[in-house]
Amino acid sequence: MMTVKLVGSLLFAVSGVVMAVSYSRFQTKKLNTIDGFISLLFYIKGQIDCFARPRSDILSTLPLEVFCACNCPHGADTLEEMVEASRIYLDEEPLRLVASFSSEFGSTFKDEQLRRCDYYISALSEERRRVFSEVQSKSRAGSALWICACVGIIILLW
Amino acid sequence: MQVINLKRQASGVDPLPEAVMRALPYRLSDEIRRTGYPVIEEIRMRASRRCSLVVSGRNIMLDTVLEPREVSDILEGMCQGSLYAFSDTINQGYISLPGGVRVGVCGRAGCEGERIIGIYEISSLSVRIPHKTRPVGREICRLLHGFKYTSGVLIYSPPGIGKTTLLRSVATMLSSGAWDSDQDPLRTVVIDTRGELAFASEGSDLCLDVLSGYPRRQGIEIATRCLNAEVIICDEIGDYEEAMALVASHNCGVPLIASAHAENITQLLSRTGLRLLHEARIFGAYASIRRDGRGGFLYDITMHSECF
Repeated sequence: MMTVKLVGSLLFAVSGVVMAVSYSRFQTKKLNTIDGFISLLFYIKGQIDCFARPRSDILSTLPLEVFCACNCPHGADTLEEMVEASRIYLDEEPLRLVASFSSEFGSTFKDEQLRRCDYYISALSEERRRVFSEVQSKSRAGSALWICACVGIIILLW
Repeated sequence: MQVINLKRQASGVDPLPEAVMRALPYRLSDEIRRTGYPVIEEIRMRASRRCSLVVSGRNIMLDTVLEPREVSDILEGMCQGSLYAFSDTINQGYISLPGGVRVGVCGRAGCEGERIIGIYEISSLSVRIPHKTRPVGREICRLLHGFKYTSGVLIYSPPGIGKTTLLRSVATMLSSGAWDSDQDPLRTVVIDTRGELAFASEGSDLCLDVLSGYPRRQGIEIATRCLNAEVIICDEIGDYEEAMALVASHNCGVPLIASAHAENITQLLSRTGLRLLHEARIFGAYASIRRDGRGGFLYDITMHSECF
């Protein structure tokens, strides 16, 4: 009986730590995803400004690191695919911004397209600042909650 | 579906270039195929008006009427969903597609002073489709050979006669040496400013370099200083500033074959830019062309020394 209790307690403790770590990583991933899309927008802006490259060519030359940051480790053919792959990591407002950019990308002339890139970079950077300030506190709070919950269950079971 | 495909094959209509077919609405491309014309020179699409074809110089009206939104979507499709990539040429009134297809764009211009910054509310598109022809232009090659490759030739005619087609064929002949059994290929550089001369699909045995999208002045400088050209070919010259720059950069002695719009030699040389080139002796001869009705050209040559 004691052995079972010990094993059970150990399992709860391990799961608590795992959940805490996963939650912390999830929060960090949200930040990395926004960073990824900001890098993507900078890259797109440069390709349009310097080379006026069509959208399909831009994505075919996008560095793999940016794809990975946007949760597409095997690459993507369209911006919509990248937005869909990142959906769970983006809050409402960043998701709205990247979805809006991908839907209107390529439908305007060069000067206007560059201005829109600037707007979305600025808006996403603002969202990044907000998410950054939340991530640390959420990670700590979430991790503590998971561990405390598991410790509490262990104590109850004993 | 099987019956429809067989019928399309039986109509004997040459397929339009893929870049054009992909962008057209199905009902328009289907009507074009059903007309049965083997060679279509132009497709003209107008918002809220009937579309038309140009076949052997004649205008053929179609039944299809496109909505304004459809015309805009066709342009966006031709631009591969990247309108910004074609901003510069759209503001000049055209876009160039793979295969030498040139699409004229008409709409409402957004201007900043004298500068066009964008074209909105696209109202019509005019798709000019190049076609392969039998080799022509031996006479131009013989002229050049007669000058011992020290002087160039200016080809002129009214619009739509086939100057670009002739230049394309001359470039192929000179760069392959095919115009005469005793001739070696020449290092030929084509300055394809508007993307119409289109050599991407030509043979692999051509001694040919293509400067696609380059302004003519810079293209000639690169051709002479970096590419060691033996002959330079470019299309549609005549602008005065361009002529001044051509004179300045053309002291290298490489012959230039070019084209210009004009009805006759008097009209040709009355244009300020071309007069400047004439006085600088850039061209040894001026060749007026007209179609012979069998896919070739008739030439009316005026030597430089015969001009006033």
